Amino acid sequence: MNKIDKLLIKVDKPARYIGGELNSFNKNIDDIDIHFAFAFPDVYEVAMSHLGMHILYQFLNRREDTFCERVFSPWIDMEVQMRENNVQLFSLESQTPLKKFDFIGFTLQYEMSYTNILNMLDLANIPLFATERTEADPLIIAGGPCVYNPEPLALFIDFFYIGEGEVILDDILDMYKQYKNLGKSKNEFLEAILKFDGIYVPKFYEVIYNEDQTIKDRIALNKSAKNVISKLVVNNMDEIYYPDKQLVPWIQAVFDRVTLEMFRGCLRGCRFCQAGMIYRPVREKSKETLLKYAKNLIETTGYEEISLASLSTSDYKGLEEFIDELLKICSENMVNISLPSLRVDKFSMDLMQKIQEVRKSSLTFAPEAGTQRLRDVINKNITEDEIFQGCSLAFSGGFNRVKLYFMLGLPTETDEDIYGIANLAEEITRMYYRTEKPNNASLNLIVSTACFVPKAFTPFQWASQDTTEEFMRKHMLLKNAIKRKSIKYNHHDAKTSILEAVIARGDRKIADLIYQAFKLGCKFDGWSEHFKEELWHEAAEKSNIDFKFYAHRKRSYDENLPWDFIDIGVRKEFLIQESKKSEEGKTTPQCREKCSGCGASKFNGGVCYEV
Amino acid sequence: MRIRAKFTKEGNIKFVGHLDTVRLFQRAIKMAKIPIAYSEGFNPHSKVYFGLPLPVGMESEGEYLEIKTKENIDVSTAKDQLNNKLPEGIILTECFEIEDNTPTLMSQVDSAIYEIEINEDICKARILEKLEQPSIVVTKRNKKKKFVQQEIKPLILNYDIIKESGRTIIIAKIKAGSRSNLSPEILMKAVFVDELPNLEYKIKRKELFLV
Repeated sequence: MNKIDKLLIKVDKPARYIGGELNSFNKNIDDIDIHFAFAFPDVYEVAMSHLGMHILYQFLNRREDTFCERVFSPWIDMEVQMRENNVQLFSLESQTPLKKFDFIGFTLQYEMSYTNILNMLDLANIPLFATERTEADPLIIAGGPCVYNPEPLALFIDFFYIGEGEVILDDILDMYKQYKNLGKSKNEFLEAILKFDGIYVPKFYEVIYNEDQTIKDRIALNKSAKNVISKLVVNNMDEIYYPDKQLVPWIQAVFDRVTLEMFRGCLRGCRFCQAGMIYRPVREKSKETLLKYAKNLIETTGYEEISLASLSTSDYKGLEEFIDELLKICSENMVNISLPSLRVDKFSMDLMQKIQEVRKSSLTFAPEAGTQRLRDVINKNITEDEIFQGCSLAFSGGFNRVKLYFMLGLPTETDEDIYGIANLAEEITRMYYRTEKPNNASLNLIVSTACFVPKAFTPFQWASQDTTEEFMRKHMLLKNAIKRKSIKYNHHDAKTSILEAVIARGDRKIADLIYQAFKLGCKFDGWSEHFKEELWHEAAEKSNIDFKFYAHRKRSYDENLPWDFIDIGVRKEFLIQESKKSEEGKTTPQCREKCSGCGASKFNGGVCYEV
Repeated sequence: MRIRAKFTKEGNIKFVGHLDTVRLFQRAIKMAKIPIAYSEGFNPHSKVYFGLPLPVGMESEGEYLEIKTKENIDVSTAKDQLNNKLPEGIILTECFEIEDNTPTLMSQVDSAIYEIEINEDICKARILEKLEQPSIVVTKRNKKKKFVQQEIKPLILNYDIIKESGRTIIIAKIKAGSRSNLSPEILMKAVFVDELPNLEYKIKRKELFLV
């Protein structure tokens, strides 16, 4: 029995750690130039659900000179075994210790996974701080949505890739191979890639703070280091690489099905939503492209379900026609279609009827706020009438389970808005019992609230977040306002949301907070059963970080924000304008209705140039 | 048409549990374009059945599964097609048609041979002494999680002990299936009692016998 096998017989779900899944790769390490570890700082079932991982895994492995392997956070039981038996963190495909790789590329999907990154490096016996690593260590790099504010991880990461991987990842690897073959140092390589857009090498910058701890200035320490880093955007979605294979996990993943990416970006411009801004402009794939990949993916995975991925599926042009053709392919192959992110309207209901999603009989939608006034403030362009109409259609179609998602603590929120949530739920319940429906089942209504977390690059990036006490008061207020026993109310924990806000808008000083928290044993913070609030407060004391400064402080428009040096296309002036409009309760139409001139047209593609 | 197949499950894939193995076969059958029959109803699932679940971490040279197809197909072609799509470690070794009125696979399972390889030199007589007692009673948890006593002597059909370069190998034929079943882990517990947690061993199912 080899050393790893001995651990595997002692842990839960050992298939998390063995690799070799359908459509995975195995290459001879002697035959390749670049050994790349794609690292997802969470457990297997979560990591294997992530579309970006599936794309980049196949994208990197299509190169003959590159072997991309995967590595995920070992679950708690496995970590105990590894530490007890002195087994270093290894890759899934070839069980190679991570220390031997050229690159470890972390994907940053949520702030609460940051301690897991440090824990993974520690398990791999790789120094955590970039300055402590030597030529013998791999380059530690990061990408994903959270890199739009890279500063909290700046001290740990060698370089950040800001934007879509397909654009210049090949160029970076080509250059790495060339430098490696010439025997050049890591530092020389890092200097060389400064010429690329989208590449941020934190060690070549110094941040200077004002006395009040806000940022005074950022100074480039290398003459090639750019003052502004522009995100990288794919222009033609039909021409870029998309895999015709997808890894099929051994054990059931959170999302276990074929994922078909329909478009990137979102037309809607909800003011709390980071994805809606950072992925602009909307760029669609053509129907033909999508059908081609759907066919390939179904054939190469044997999956029984296909999911259409996007931020707002209803906004795909010609959706109905596309679904009709997709339905043909799917019914021939006994494959179900799943349609997340639909708007609640007649069109969507008909569509769901058509693909027989109805049998699931559960409907989820997110009005986000309880009153029209607040929905206008956040630019959630959905009216009460539309909500009622959607529910009415759903009820007469046989749905009896409805989930409503809201946010508490949105800017300008008053108690009136919270009562509005209870009222809306009550109205929907009454409507259910008024509606003529195919059966007499009782309604199962769940109201769920999340705590608002202000994010970088949104019109709310200057906003203050509610305190834990305020959130808890609001939870109670809403709980007591919901009188009907049949309406179930659940809410997210305020404490994790505050920490998320601290990190999401953090500067370089937050690195020490994360480091101290890791040292104290924090990991899997996004899993409520593993989140240890006391330890984070201890870490805050040790690192001298005041949560109030980061989470609860309202910024002024002229403050230098930690992420201002990144250019996402959408201009700061637009975000300010949107922030001001939100205070006046004025909405902004979606891109196809009227261009709001956000700045994303500078990328020369997508919805900005649609005719 | 009902088709039975015998397959192996060896190497790392032993860490993939039973239900996940079922799902991987369902997908492989689909990819191999075998015209599998589906159950009726809202949530149709393909008609694939297994003999006896194999515990996580155990290898096997003798597993059985059965599929039902919508139309008659050539079994040896189907075997090749499926072997092309199955992951490393799982190989169909035999594939044959069975009569429509054959009882279900699961109900036919009767006994199995296990090979238990212990990474230690253990005195043969010590093991034999335990196994040759007229009665062997073990305490185990039943499905309701209650501890119950069970007489396992009649479930042990045959055994042999081989010593090989510092290792001890127990080969045991024991009852298996839904009527009466003995897990090899329980057998090991009966032989080694408190010593068992200190032993390093692995178990492989060598063969499954149907009635």
